[in-house]
Amino acid sequence: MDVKPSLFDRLVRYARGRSPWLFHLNCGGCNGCDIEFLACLTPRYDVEQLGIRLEGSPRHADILCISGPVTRNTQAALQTIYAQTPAPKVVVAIGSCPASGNVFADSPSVVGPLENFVPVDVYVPGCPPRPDAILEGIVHAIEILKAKVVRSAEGGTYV
Amino acid sequence: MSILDILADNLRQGVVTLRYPQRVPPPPNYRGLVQIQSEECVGCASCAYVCVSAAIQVTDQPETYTWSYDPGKCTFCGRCVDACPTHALQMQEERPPIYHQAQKLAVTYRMAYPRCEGCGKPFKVATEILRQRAYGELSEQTEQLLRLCPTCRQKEALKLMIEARRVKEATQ
Amino acid sequence: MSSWFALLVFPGFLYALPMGWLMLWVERKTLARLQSRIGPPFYQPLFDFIKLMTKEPLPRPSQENRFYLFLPLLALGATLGALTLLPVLPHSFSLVGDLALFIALIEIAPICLVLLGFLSRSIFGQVGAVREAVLTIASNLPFIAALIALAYASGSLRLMDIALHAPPLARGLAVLAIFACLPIKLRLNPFSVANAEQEIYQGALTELDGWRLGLWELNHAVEWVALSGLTVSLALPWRSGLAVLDAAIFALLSLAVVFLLACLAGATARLKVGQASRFYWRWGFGFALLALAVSFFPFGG
Ligand code: SF4
Ligand code: SF4
Ligand code: SF4
Repeated sequence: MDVKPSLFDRLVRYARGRSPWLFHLNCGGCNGCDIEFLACLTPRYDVEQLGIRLEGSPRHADILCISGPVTRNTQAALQTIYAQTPAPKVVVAIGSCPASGNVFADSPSVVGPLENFVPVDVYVPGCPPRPDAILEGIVHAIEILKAKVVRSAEGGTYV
Repeated sequence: MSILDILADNLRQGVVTLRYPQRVPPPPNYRGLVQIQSEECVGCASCAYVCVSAAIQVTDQPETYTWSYDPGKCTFCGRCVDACPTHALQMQEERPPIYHQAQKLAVTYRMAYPRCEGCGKPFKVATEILRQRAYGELSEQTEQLLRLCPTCRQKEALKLMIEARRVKEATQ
Repeated sequence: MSSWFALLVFPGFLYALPMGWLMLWVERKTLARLQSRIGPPFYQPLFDFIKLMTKEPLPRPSQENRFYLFLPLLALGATLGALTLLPVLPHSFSLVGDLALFIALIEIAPICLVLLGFLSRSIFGQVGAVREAVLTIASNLPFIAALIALAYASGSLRLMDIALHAPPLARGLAVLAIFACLPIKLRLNPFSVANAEQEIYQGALTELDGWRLGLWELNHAVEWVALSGLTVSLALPWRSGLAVLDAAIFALLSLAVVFLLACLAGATARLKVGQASRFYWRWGFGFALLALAVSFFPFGG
């Protein structure tokens, strides 16, 4: 089953790796992670150097950056947003909250951790993580994104 | 300062972005992963008691105890390090690594309680550091006593007391 | 020169595609440099396009899909058509009355965007569509008035004649008014209210994904070329006659316009929809009126 990827496949993978767009979602965290995430957009870290754009709509995104322990209120939104993101997509869990619930674990309004609802590909530990850690997590996510199939068996809608 | 001045300043200043693999090293005393030196630990569970998010858990078995730590739950507050009476805990001054599976970074140590020099039963011991903190400099005799389990220690202490009284009476 | 050459080669498709991507890059890079950031790499818009076209969006009902395919393509075609009419080279393709055709074609893209917004049935899409509609009307007032002023002053409805023969004062005012309309037509700060990415999740584009968004981005790139090109070709009163030189001047000046627009976008924050439309009704229209006045009552002419 070792097929050499076609030129088209390689081009698509390369383009994908150079243009990952992010959607950022807080599922009930304390906002610490979100502030560090936004620090990635500042001149010093500038995610745009990797071709990243922060998008306003999950339908435009390739990488979902999720912080927070997933509360009862955000759970439905989380699932909708995950479903709306077109394949291929990668989920990055930012901070300790999505990994375990962190300090919010066992609260009656917390239903997390995140992997109960969506498959998580990358965990960035920290509370909150440093911006360069988030950037590194995104780079890991890009590698995963590039490794995904170019066209799934069900087939995408192409023009 | 008008926005145009700011923009002109920025242009003059040039690019300040760090190209990706470059990064700012964490500051001194940065709080990264908690690390244990298991030979120092006495299994007192103070760290588990103060941990806000139950990242550290210490469980007790008759002869051994386990110390487990899941960085996925940690808030990197450093309370455990402060609370540890034997200074067995330290924090890496480096940011924790990225991982891909939940609980991938979790560690568990299983440690045996030291055995009593008298009867050979496992018991919770006070380490060197603790003893020094509690009692200052100790005589050889007290040191010996502290290496025994509570039962043996009582017996031994009683023996010593009786011995001491006999010596005292004999000299009078 | 044949219309096919103009549509497909210069200033049409073959020129507009790389140029549009270059302009998108210049805009993003300028913005980044103004903020001391490094900005995106050079091929960014191309990679964005390839990636968008090869994503696998959620399936949609086929009627809806047809619209999602048809509207961006219609917008793209119309914008390319408008581009074809630009009087860049001295002997480039032109028609009698192509000014009116140009205005009609350049307005199709915003209309398509409004339709896309309403089609999405998302509240954000609809809000975006309404804002786009309001702002299009507000910006078209000075835009069309300025073009009318130019046409009257030069006594022709042919873009080529306007470009070569408009009197300087009326031309200056009208070009300024047209330039002032560009940020709104390209949905840039401070007039990016219709596609505000924080407030209304990019408005009418909220529900577009994968190739649907890719096609729209393509149209947006061509829109950049067409609108900056219009400003440049109307501002330049002479042509060297050497096709290559004219094309090069045109391309360079278009990029300069993009640079100016990016600086404006970098220096300003987003306005409210009321403020933006008031700005155009007041200032843009003021300029255009002045241009109209100057062309109807030429001083000293
Ligand atoms: S991981 Fe820490 S900083 Fe991040 S949202 Fe949770 S509690 Fe806040
Ligand atoms: S640093 Fe804080 S949260 Fe982490 S293990 Fe220690 S006490 Fe618990
Ligand atoms: S506080 Fe220190 S000695 Fe006590 S269990 Fe924790 S690590 Fe061990």
